[in-house]
Amino acid sequence: MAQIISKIDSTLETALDCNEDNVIIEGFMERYSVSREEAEEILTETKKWLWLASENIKEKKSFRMFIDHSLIIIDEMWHNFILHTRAYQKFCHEKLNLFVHHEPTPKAAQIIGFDSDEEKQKFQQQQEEKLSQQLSYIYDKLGAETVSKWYEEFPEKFSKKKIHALKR
Amino acid sequence: MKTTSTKTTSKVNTEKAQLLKKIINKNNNIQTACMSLCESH
Repeated sequence: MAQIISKIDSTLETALDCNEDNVIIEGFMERYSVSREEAEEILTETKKWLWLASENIKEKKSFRMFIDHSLIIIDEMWHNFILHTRAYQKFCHEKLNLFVHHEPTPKAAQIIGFDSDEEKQKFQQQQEEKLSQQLSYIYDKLGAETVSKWYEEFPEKFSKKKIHALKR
Repeated sequence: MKTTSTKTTSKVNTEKAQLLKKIINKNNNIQTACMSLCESH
């Protein structure tokens, strides 16, 4: 068990140690009115998310990692990271050994209304199960602190409305 | 030692369950914004 944990830690540490950080952080600060410390923290959490997404695939899990409204700031940093195509490709290939594609949910797949309360309830139950599965995975791989940061601290600090206000 | 280990695991599981429940209860309108799609190279 100790061996497994140490292996996980070393691959995560490698993923977080990236030479291209500066250009990505400065790119983010040009687009959003955030401090350097905040941009650095968001990039670290985004790299953790990408590492976890790659682990999820390597371990052949039955579910796929997803981003919901709680993680919008990580999504914004991911978009910013992708703009630096060479740095992003290098990060994926050298640090993750996988290319992590970004796949937006099409507007047509985003449910706006329901025909019945039963249908709404069923959908919400499915979504809760998906979220529960993902939270459990994050907790097991990255710990309680990361779960709290991503799903309690970030949604408060970087809600959709606040992110909109931070855009330059 | 075995009892301590079982107790510790049980405590961790309880803390995990409580944290997950708290977050899920707050997220009553979960909508997927995007997914990760990976391919090996």
